[in-house]
Amino acid sequence: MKIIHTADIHLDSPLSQVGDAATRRYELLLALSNLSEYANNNGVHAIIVAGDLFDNQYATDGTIAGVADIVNRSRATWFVLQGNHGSSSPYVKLKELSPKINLFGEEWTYFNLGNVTICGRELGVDDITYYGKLELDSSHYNIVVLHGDVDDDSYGLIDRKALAESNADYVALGHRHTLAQYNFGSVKACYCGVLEPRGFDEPIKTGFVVIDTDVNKITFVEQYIRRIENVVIDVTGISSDIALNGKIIDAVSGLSNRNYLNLTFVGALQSGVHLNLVADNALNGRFFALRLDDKTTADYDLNAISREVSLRGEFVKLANKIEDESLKSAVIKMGLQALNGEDIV
Amino acid sequence: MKIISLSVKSFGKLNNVNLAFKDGLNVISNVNGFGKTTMAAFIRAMLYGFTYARNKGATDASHYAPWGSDEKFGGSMTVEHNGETYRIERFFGKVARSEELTVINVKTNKQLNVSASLGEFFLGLTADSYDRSTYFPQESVELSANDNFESKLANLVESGDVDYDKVQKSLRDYRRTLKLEKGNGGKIYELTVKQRQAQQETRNAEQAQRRAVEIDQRLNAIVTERRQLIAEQSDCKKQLDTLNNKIAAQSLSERDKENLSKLNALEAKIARIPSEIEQDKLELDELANAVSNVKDDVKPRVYPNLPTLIVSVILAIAGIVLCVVVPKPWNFVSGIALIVLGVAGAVIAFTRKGAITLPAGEKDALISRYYAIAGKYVYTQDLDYNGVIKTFWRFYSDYIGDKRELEALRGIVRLPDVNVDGIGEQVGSLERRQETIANKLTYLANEEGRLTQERETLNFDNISPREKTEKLGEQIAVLERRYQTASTVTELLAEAKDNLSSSYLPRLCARCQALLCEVTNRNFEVVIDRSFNVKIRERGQTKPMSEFSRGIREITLLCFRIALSELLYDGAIPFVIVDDAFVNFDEDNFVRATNLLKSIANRGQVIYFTCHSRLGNLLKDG
Repeated sequence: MKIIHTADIHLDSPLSQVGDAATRRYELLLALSNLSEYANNNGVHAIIVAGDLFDNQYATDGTIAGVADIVNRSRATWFVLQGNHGSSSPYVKLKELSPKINLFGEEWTYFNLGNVTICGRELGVDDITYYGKLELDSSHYNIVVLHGDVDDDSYGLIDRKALAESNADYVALGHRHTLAQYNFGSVKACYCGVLEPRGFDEPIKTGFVVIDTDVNKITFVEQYIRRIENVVIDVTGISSDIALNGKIIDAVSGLSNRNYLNLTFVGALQSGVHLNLVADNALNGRFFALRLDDKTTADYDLNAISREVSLRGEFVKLANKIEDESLKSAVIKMGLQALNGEDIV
Repeated sequence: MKIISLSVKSFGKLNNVNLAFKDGLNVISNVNGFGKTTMAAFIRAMLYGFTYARNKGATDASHYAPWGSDEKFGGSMTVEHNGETYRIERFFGKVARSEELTVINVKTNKQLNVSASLGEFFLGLTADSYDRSTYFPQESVELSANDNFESKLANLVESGDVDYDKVQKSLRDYRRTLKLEKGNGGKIYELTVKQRQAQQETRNAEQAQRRAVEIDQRLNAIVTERRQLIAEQSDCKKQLDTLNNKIAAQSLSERDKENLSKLNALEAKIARIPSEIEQDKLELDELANAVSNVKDDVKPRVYPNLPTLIVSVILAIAGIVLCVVVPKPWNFVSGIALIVLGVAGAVIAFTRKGAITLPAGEKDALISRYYAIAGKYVYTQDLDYNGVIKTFWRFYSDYIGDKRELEALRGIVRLPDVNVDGIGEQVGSLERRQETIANKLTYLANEEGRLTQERETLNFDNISPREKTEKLGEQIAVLERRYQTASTVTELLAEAKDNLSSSYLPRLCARCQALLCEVTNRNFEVVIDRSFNVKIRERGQTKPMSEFSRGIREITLLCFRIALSELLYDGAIPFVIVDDAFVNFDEDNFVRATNLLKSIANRGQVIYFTCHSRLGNLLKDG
């Protein structure tokens, strides 16, 4: 039997890093629909959402109705865990609109699909006691669905030992957004990643996990509507804005403008080269979302300057004492800019 | 370090120029425009290269790019450093990466790998410090009419063209664009205001969401409540219909109503009469009879016993009939016996005494009793005994008549078999209930309309304002970071200036004073504060620099510059390049300045470029 494991879709979440957030929110729903289509076309029997399907207790009626449509059209059976975002309110509405959806409760909730048992519970209350109550039939293929952090019990306890000693075959985890696989003893556990990146801090590789219970094998299926492109440009030796513009254009050529562009500048930035100005001018509006990260350093020999008997020598000497490297770099850059009589921007 | 020779391939106006230098003083004299400043720039470029940064639209490289020459842009310079001789070959391009630099140890013929700037390797100074300590152009030591000695000195010490106050002002202005120190204003404030608005929008949207949930719950409750009310209304109507049907079934005709009314009236009338009237009537009859039997003369009378007499007569007649009509022996005997019985009976009838007679006093008592009983029913005052009898008889006759009529009415009036009044009350109650239900339904309809309308106007999109809040938060964080950076720069610059003043100014001042006294043969005391206000004390009198002659001010400035050079080079100036710096000095000052150069030349190398013949003491020994 094939079962899809997904999580952390965060429908209706605010997306402050993209220009057209409404489109992106729609695309998150579309990604869920694509997953459902995959399930329909590939003989998937069940879809597990291991938490955070919605981002907020105030998910819009339209989004809830959209999910209900996807579930109602799906040939697979859906099992949804609420997770740690928002309240039960949207899930209750979803259940009203799509009665065939199966929701996990605060106690262990068991569902049987032939010889496959899917069980789960919302974490957070008296977890240790509940692990003691977990009862799984060893003759079944058992999937345990949980939402929390394997290394931090702030959102609820993932008890590796208890799960390792249980009759579980697979632990479908949600909460961490990056695909990661663990072994709790002989029990496989997996964070399935996210369907789509919502911001620049999301993983580059997105998709979902397919469990084949017959052979106890898990496979990651990559899927995305948009992805994050990470580009690093070394500005060392670039002496003019025009040269920088050319370098930026070269670096991003060939990248799809549908994607997110995360552009990091490194190297020594010569004075008189206006990095943000040029990058904004060259890229603004060209990609779906843009983040510029200036990790350049001032193109000076700071050791030599700090030996100078001069205001800037004394200044650099003092600035070098700043512990926060990022602040130190920014202070030195701005200070030298000011001392050179350049405009501070 | 000292310069041994240089070979210019092509640099600015210089083409294929070769020069050799010796220790001590080197005077390079030529016609005006031969390229002394370019030569000085070549030496600097050999040591420090070009920055290639655009300065007023052109780079240093483009400024010195050869005109009309096919030779390579650059050349070589041979220097001695720590006992080793190095040949520096440097050729330039339009950009930094096209620059070629080779440093070869002449003795070993090995290439030297210098990671830092070449100038810093040989001199231990940055290009900026080199400019302030090694190269003496005209403008560095001359004071024009508009020049301020203090600011020139401050700029010299603080570094090149830096104007501390201007730098601080630019930083302050920048900070003010972000956030005003006092009051509200700046980009951060504007964004914060917008963020607060967005947060308020979020709160409003969340409140609207909660309100929408409340409204939805209330609308659902209204639907349920209305369903119940409509059911209740329907039930009410059914009950009402049933009751109305009952009432309709039990309704009386006009005649019945009239009879019923009469019946009720009679019943009420009879009910008011004491119930013992019949007994009283018998007693009154007896009383009246008794009273009527009392003669006024009160003589006793005998009355035959009439029944006995009648029976006796009948018996006698029967006996006669038997004897006469049917003459048989037994009939005759029987007839005779009957006749005898009849006679005997008659005798007996006449032998009994009559009714009892009463004495007159008793009669009065009977009448009084009559009055008392009749008085319960009729008005007896002012009436005599016979009047009372008549009145009572009329009353009683009426009573009997009423009773008969009542009985007759009861026979004809059809009384309803249910309590119509009770039904009426129920009907009234139901009608009131119906009215209440109708009012409630109207109220619910109004409430439903109002709530539906309110729900339609609710804006509970909290995602957009949350996004806006986050975006603004990120922007504010960036600007706050910049503000913090600018503030830190401001503080560090102030601290740097203080450090510079406190650590270097006293030494600078002392050395300047020594040089000034040496070159002028006068006993000056130089005083300088942190703001580079310089005062000179002589013979107990302290005067600001402005009160001294231009010559003294210029030679003081030169002394400061040499003192600074010594400070930067930590005492030993390896070489200085003087670009006709003293050309406008008066004769006295020229001599003083050249004496100073000779003094430096005794400790290091001096390259003096000039296009004038005036050389003062430069070429004189001693």
